[in-house]
Amino acid sequence: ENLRISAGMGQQHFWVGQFMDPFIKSMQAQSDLTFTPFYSGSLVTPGRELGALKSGIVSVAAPLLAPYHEGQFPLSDVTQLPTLNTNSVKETRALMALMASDQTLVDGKTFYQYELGDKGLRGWAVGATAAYSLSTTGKVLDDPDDLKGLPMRAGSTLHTILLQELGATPVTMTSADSYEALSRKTVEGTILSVADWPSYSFQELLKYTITGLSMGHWESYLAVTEKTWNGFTDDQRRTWNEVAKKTAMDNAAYIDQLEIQVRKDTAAKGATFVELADLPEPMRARLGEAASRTWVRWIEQMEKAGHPGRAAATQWARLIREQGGEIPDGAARYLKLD
Amino acid sequence: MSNTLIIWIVLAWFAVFLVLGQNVATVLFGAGMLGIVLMVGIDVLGGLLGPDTFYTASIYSLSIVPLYLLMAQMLLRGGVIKDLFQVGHRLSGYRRFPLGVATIVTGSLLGAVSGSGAASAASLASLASPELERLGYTRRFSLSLSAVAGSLSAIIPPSLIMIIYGSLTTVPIGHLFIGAIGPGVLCVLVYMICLRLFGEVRPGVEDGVSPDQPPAPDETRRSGSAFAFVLGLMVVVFGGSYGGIVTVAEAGALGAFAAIVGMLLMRRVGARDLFLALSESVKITATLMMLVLGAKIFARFLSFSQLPNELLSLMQPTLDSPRLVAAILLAVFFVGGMFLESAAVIVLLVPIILPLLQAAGIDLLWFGVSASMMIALGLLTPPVGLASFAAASAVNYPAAPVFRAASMFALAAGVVVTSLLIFYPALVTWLPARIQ
Amino acid sequence: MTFWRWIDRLEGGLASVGAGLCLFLIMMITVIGVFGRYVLGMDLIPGGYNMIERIAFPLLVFWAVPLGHRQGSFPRFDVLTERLPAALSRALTALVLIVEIAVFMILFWYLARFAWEATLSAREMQIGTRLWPVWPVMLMMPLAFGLMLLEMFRLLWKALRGGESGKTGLASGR
Ligand code: NA
Ligand code: NA
Repeated sequence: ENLRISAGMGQQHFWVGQFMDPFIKSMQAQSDLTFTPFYSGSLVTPGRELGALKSGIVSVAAPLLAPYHEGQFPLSDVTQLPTLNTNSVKETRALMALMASDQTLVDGKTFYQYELGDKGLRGWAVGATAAYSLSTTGKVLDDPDDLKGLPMRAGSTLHTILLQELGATPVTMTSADSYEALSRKTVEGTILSVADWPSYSFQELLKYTITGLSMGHWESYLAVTEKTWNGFTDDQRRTWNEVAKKTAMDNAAYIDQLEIQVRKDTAAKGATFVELADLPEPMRARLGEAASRTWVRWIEQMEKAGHPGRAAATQWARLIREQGGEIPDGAARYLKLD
Repeated sequence: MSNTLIIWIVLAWFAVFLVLGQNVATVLFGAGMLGIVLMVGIDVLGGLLGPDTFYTASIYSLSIVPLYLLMAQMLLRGGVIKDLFQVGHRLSGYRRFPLGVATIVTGSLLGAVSGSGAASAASLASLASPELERLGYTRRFSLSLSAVAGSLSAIIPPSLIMIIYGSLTTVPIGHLFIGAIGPGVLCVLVYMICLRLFGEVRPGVEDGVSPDQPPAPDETRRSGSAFAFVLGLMVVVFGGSYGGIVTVAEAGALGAFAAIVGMLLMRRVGARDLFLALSESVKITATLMMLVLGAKIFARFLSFSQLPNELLSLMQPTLDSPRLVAAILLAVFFVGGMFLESAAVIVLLVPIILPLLQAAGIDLLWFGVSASMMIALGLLTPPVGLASFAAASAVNYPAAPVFRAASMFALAAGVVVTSLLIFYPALVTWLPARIQ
Repeated sequence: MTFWRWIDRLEGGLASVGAGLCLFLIMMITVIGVFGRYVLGMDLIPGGYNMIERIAFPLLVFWAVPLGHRQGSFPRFDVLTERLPAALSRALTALVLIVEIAVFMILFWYLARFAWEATLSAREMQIGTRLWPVWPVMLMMPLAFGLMLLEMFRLLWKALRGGESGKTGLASGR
């Protein structure tokens, strides 16, 4: 049987060129499954993968962009919580552990059941993005006042919360739209991973970036419906599990390399990267507070909406630490981690 | 049913209902839905139609369209365009050739503020054509020239089809507008030469005759102020956007706002004109958006059918020479422009050929400008050159003779401008690469 | 008769007043945004971009489209039908309309279902930092397509009855 597999982005994006394509290639080499790929949202627009899987428009979403499904994968946003000293490989391992864990969050449900299983989905992690960082078109951010009212592009609810906590004005738009907005100062900065810059031609546009503090990482899933999965043979499933895992880790390693490369290339052309530790104390404190407040507000929002936000955040924080990443102090205290 | 058979059935549906006069948007919806149902079944319609319709109707970059239309509507209703033409007329000493040039220049100014080539052609046909005739050009040639001048709206920025192209390909719309300046100016020059060469004059009519009544002094002042106003507006709209101060959308909003305030202050329009301008702009926008919505559904069918991929493998041998691919594709756009509304050509063809462009490594900015050029030419030529038709029908004149001269202009511009575009792509890409 | 006059006024009002106001709002939100940015150095309408994209522009489109349809301004290729004998032309007009009605019925059904599900789940969207309901905007889709369907039935009735006004609504626009 031939499977329609689709990506919302083009082949130049690392989730397509470095995940979907290699995944298809390995699967076709190691199993008798065949795929017809669709790129750039030609069949499924980003954020509509769930509906497309359910109504049979496609059989495989690679990736299913959980953050674009407003409110439908609430707990999956944990990976977007701000962390310190994390990269794609650490983050991808942490998410794989979270998805494999049998620790229950609420009503006897694990993270996996809550997010995917209950929707009749089977999912695997793809490589996490590199750390999202705060970048501007040139405005230096070394005093909390610099951020006041500054219009900044936000890509998700968590970015919006974080920017609000920083005192900036969040403007929600896609990265593609933000190119013109940034070049005309409609927004003066964005939250995006440096490795993502080439996908949107931001290398010449973004001049000032704060590193070291991750404004979260974006994650997404390789996903099929339970029904599709049940149609596979045991052999096919075993191969699928192995290939998915290996491709994701290769993907993560590639993304970390890409991040370093883009940083080097743009620094050579005059872009500035400032480490969190090198910022003046008031600014550092403001960023730390905002990062912690983001955890608190997200958890409160989730709990208010009836989702086990606290349990998920606590489990996620532990997994991040196990991988060698850190949690902002205030958040760690709030979650009583120590 | 085999893939190939389904594709043929859908194409047949498309051709039959198009020729039978069903509106293009419905043809796109119908053919797209039929194809999807035949190819994957009716179940998937539920996941496609609702979300596609809503999310396509809420694309920010398309919201720019009504803003530019509103600006143009205000200027037309304020009589500014008419005054501009009169200024040119007077400056040229009421002579024949300069008046023809003034018509083309007015057309390109009109092109710069309005979206529709047909609408521009129609207004020029009633505005400029009688004057052209009075100075000796034949009626059919005067109408052809109006059509030619009106067709420039597809290529002289702001062009609505470029906004749509930009929203389909994510090429920044500002870059498209800037890139179109070079070819646009070139096109105007070619048309001036054509005017010199093909100008059809009634024998024995004297050149350079002033009108019986010289313009009143306050009329002169009035058209002078109109001239200054449009100049100021151009600075706001183009300067702001090209200078990197505002986005193309913001430039459109500022331009519309300035046009409203200016026309009201100059007492050229009243509240009723504003009301009519608003309602006309939204109606044209909605009509265009129906095409975009229908094309979205049709594009989904194309994706399922893998037609673009098959086209890609068919063209594989030619991919090594991007120029050849570009020439072939531009020819397709020209033919499309001969039969269809310009926006329909863009929304229909771009999803099919986008993979080809990417595979051949053709610059999408360059292609967008060149394709708009092809469509501008298609506005003039038979069988359905909408600009020629509009110019003819505005004064109840048969279309065939108008087509004849207009096609000569289109042919000349097609040969000269297209070959320059293909052999000197920098004509398009040089400027956008240099301006922020 | 009064029914059609009522529909006529509804469509006219939706387009000229409703959609016209949306366009005016899009313009003003943008102009105020630019003014705030360069003159006051602040964002005067937080989330203005999202309001235009998800509310004002789709409302503009769905409110204006029934009137555009009624006035026959949808582009079509009418060179052939205009040259045919009147009887044949009318028969073809009826055929084309019947197919068009079928296409729009399917569209209407799925759009209504989509909008209804959005309404039941009280679908929201992010505007600036708050969530606004988006389902009322989605409900305008079946309204627009429903009104266009009504007009098609009216045209079909005229074409089948064979009155000389059978083509007026279909006259080519631009
Ligand atoms: Na134009
Ligand atoms: Na044409």
